[in-house]
Parts: sequence; C-alpha cells; structure tokens
Amino acid sequence: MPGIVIILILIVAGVSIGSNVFIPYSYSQYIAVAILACLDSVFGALNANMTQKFKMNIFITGFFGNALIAMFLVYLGDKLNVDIYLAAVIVFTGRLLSNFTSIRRNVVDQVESNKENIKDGVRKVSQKNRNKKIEKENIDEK
Amino acid sequence: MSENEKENVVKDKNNSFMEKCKKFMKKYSIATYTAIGIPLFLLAFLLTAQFKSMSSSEEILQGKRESQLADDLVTLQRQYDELKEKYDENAAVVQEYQNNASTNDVLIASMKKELETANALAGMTDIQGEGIIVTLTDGVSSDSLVHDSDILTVVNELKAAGAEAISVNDQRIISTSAIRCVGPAIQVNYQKIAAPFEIKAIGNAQYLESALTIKNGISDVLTELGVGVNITRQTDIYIPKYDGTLIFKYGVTTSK
Repeated sequence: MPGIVIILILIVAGVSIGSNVFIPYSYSQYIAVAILACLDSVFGALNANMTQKFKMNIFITGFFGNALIAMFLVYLGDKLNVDIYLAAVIVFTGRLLSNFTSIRRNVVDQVESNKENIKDGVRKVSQKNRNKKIEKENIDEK
Repeated sequence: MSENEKENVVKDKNNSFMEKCKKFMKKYSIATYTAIGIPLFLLAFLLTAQFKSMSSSEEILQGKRESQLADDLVTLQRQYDELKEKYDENAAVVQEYQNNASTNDVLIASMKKELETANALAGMTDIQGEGIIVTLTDGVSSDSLVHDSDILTVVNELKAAGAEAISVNDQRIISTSAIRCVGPAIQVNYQKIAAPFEIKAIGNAQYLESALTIKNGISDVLTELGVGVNITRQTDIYIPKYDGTLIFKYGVTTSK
C-alpha cells in the first residue's frame, strides 16, 4: 500500500507543478513527442507486468531513452527540414495501441478464466453432493 | 453444506490472490515504487504543462488561420481610425493652447510665425496656394503602367522646379517620405495608393509645368511609354498635412 500512495503523491505533485509551468510554443513539439514516448513506455510496462515479464531496468531506461531519442529526432528533423516527428508520432502511437490491445486481451482472458474456475468449482461441489445423495439413497434403499 | 463449500472455494481463491499480492509487495519494495513513480511524476508534469501551454497559446500567430488574421486586420484598422480621430482632436486642443499662450507677446508671436513656417516646411500643416496638379493614369498595355520610379521622377522634377509642398494621392511628401513599389500597388508614407495618381504641387505654376513639359522631359518620356499624363494649372490647390508623427529616435539636434 505505501508504494501506491507514493506513486499517487508523485503523480499529484507532477500535475500541480506542471499546471504552473508554461512551455514556449516552439518547444511544444518536443514535449509532445516526449509525452508520447513516455506514455508508450508506461503502457509497455503495464503490458509486461500482465505477462510477468516486467523488468525495472528496462522500464526506466526505456522511459528516459525513448523520450530523449524522440526529442533528438525532432531536433534533427528541424535542422534537416524533414518532419521526422511524424515518424515518432506514428511509431509511438502504434505501439501504444498494440500495447493497449494486449493489455485488454490479458484482462479479458483472466476475467474469463476466473469465472470458469469458479464455475468448475461449483460444478465439482454439486457433483460431489449429488454423488453423496445417490450414495445415501442407495444406503437407504438397502 | 454446499453453500459453505462454495464459499470456501471462493475464499481459497481470494486467499491465494492475497498471497500473490503480498508476494508481489515483497518483491517490489518502496524503493521500486519510487523508481516507478518518478517517471510517472515526470509524465504527469509534462502532460499538464503541455495541456496548459497549448490551451493558453491561442493568441500565438502561427496557429492562426488566414481568416482570423483578416479579421484582426479589420479590427486593427478600425482602431487605427478611431485613434487617429482622437489624435486629431487632441492636436486641435494643443493648437488652441498655443494660440492662446502666444497672442500677447510680440516675441512669442514672431516665434510662432517661425514655428508655423517650420511646420509647413516639415509638412505638419495643411497648405493652400497656386500650383499644378499632375494626373498619371495607367496605359492600355502592360508596359505602360505607372511605376514607383515614374512618380519619384515627377516629384523630383517638381522639387527641382521649386515646389513648396507636394502630395501624391493626398499623401504629403515630407523629408522622410518614401515612394516605393509593393506588389501591385505603390506605397507612399507606408500607405498603399493606386492609380490614377494625382500629384499636387504648390509653387510657381508656370515653372512647375514647364519643368515637366520641357522637350524630352519626364512628360514626354511617360507619354511615349503610353502613360496618360495630364497637367492642369490651378490658382488654389489644397494639400493636406502629413498623417503620421515625426519622432527622432536616433538623431539628436546639434549646433556644431
């Protein structure tokens, strides 16, 4: 529990500090691409966590590395007069969507398997009861 | 019995889930949570900052559409007109004060006269008097359009012939006036003007006219090119004063 509280506090702090900061218009493209890269990393981490493949190092390095490289690409595109940021946007958004898809699949699968397990459990119990009843009846008849 | 057992099954499920959670909690200690939290903190920070900046940067020109800019232009022009009206009113008040203050004293009266002359020369007062009106009209072919250089030459000739005040389409020519080409129009005193161009000049009408109509003079040259040149002498020409303000930003008067 304390861990989740820490995360929540950090997120609230981020929101409150961010609402007091003004980003100049010329930098907004960089920030936008960095945000996409970060969101991609977070969703990727969620997805990895679902499939028990989550690794802290990969998450942290991916989070910062992706954002920095994406921003560098935007800078390079600016200098070369090519809209490289479009490539970053497409790639990160595509990965975001695919991550979200696999998260959704995992959640749905888990919920369904849980339901079936419960059903199976109930069926087994009722089967046992029926068997017991039949045995009892047999004994009675005897 | 069956109900209890069913509950037990569910409880077992819950217990195993709780145990899993506990294991998970042990596996990921507080330090790990902070390590996850800091990126999330940064993400939240960037997201809110970006949202805020984008919603408050509507005033930035780059994002504006052409139609919006046109609207802005119209409103600014209206504001300019209003302000100009106000300026004229205030200028009249200042003039009145000057008149009142200087009626008594002879010295001040002579200074006032000097000031008036200086103002007239600088183009800060309306002027009336004898002179000529030159009208330049575009010819039929595309070669015979009136260019900025044509107007400039005419104005130059008139100055050389002793014109005391000149205006082009009621834009007073003063010492800092520029006549130049801006696309399809001509700009005088930073105001766009279009054909026909009416150049008024106050001075000795005969001198002024002959300066233009002299053989192989500017009038001949322009007529040959196909530009319509019409010169009329008049005894009473009215030339308006310069619209803008004259402020010396870099220069300082010196008596060296």
